[in-house]
Amino acid sequence: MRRLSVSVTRTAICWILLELLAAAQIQSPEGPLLVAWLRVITLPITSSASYVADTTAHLATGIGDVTKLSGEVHSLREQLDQSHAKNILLSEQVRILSDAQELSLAVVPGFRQSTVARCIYRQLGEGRLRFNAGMNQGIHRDTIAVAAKGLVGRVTSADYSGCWVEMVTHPASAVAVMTEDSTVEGLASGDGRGMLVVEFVPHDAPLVRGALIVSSGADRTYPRGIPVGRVTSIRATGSAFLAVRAQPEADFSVLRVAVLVPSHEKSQQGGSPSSP
Amino acid sequence: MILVLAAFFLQWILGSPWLPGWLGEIWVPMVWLVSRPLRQRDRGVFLMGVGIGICWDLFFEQQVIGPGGIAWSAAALAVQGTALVLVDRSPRAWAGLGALAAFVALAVRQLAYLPLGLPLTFWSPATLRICVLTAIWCGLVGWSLQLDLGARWQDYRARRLR
Repeated sequence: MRRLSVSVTRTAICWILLELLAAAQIQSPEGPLLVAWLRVITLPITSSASYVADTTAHLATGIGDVTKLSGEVHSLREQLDQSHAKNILLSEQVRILSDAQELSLAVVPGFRQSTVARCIYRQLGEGRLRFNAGMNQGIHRDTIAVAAKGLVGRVTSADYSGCWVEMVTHPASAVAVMTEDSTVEGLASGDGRGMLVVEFVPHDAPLVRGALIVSSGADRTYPRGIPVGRVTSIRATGSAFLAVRAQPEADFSVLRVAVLVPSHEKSQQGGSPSSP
Repeated sequence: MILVLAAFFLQWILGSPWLPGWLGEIWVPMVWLVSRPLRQRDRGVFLMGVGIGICWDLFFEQQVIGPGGIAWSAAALAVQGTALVLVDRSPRAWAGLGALAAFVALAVRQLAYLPLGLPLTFWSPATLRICVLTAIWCGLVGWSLQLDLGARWQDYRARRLR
């Protein structure tokens, strides 16, 4: 059986070679007949190869287009992110301008030579805020800072680029305060945790929760009548004074602008801004 | 090899213009393809057929070289296959195989011409003449071998010497 298959294979190969030999000797309109045969045989292969090449080229072009598109999408996303950031900044600017406008209507009229400054840095944990008004604008140590809602604090250090303001909630801060009707007086100091502790309130003082406390001017640092905070708790201690806690009126976490009142303005003015 | 060349020479002589045309239709070398299987020497018959066919194209066809090799090798395979099942080794068997070989060679050559676009001449009176004359030629060769002339000549010489 194996010999038969070998013989058949040998015979077939020999005949094919003789036929190809004959085809190489015959001329057709396209050239040697063998060339025409090879062209016919290879036509499907060349067509397929051409199709594959075209498809590959189209695929490569498609991949290139997709890559280009993804690059453009990435670029557009970056532009969108930048627009969002600009939008946020512009919104912040708008809020700052709105606060400044509110401040100018509520506080500035009471202080003719005051400076409106923008808060550029907050250190709420340390009880400090930085504003963009400095010595070149007449801001010095002990300049008070007032927001639209109430008292912010006083300047502890100033340079030509800005100043640091110690908030009223700073443990080292102390403001002489009184109720609006001036019946109760005390000393408001910060507890270092964002609240005020009002000391030296007599145990029989007619003080109620929610009462607004304002600066009394007795410390000759802060002008009289600037809102400082609202009473949140009153507790009897058994001593001659009550333990009073108050929430600052000014919201330091969202404070954007404040009015900085120079110290000579305070001494000359001796008055208070209109309360909101 | 010399005898094969002699056969081709004889074929060429028979095809000369000064001889009758039907003599050229005797395929002399065909006897080589017929004799080998009948005389139990069937090795190399296929290659012999290829060689004779290529030489036939080269000397006599001259149109294209190649289909002759296919045709004569096919004839060789046909004769070899038939001789395997044929018990008869008489001159009739030689003649029959000669006709078969000629017919197969003519048919296969026409089949080989088909892909080449060459004209087909199988269905012509010459086909029948070639088959018959080649069969007669092979039969004569077989009859002469059966006579064993060599032995007869030696007997004759021996009788003369006595």
